[in-house]
Amino acid sequence: MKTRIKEFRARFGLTQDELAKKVGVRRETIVFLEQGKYNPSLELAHNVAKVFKVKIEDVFIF
Amino acid sequence: MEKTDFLEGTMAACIVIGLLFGLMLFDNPILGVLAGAALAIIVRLLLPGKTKKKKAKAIMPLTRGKWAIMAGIAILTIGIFAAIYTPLAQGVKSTIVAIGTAMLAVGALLYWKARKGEVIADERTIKIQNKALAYSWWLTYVFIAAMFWADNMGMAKFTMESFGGLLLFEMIVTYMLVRAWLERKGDE
Repeated sequence: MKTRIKEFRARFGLTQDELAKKVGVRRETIVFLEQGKYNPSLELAHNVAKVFKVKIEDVFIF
Repeated sequence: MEKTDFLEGTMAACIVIGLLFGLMLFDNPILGVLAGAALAIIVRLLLPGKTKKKKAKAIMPLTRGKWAIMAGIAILTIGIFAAIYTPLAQGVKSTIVAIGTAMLAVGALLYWKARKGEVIADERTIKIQNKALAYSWWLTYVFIAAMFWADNMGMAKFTMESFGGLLLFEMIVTYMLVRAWLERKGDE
């Protein structure tokens, strides 16, 4: 699944590690999400979108 | 009753119970004291301390490390008992001690990482572990079938001991390999 996490991260000035801590996952998981190699659970997708204050579909491209 | 009184009472009870069990099972007071001490350490790790009630959420990630530490202490204690007082084969004794030591080390590492606030496992790693276990189970099934037919057709002869040893090795290796492969591949 393609995501716009990298773009939003840059906009909010967050590192992968900081984002990982905010959503309670390992940094590697953020790396996999950015590379589109991992389909997150609805909860994780919601948490990521919440950090960036946008809707889930704005971050994750279905 | 104060919580500390309860904790100290429980610890004392553990040492007494351990002593009694040690005497009953091994007929040796030293083993009893060791068993009691191991039991007391396990209970101390399990029971919440004075200030832990407020930090209930923060304690959650430490659980994994704690269990590994407790299991490590228990296995190591059994291994030491076995090494000193039982007529088991040297290989079995050293294997038990090695497993206990490894588990204790892994537990300590996990505990230390959790204390630093690092996330030890998240949904992706748990998913990978579960998938790796499932793949490993099927590979083990194929491996057992192959060994069975190889033995049946006279291509190889396995004793119960070699069969068990090979299986233990195969299960761990396939799990680790599949896990490493899934870590690289992702779930797309």
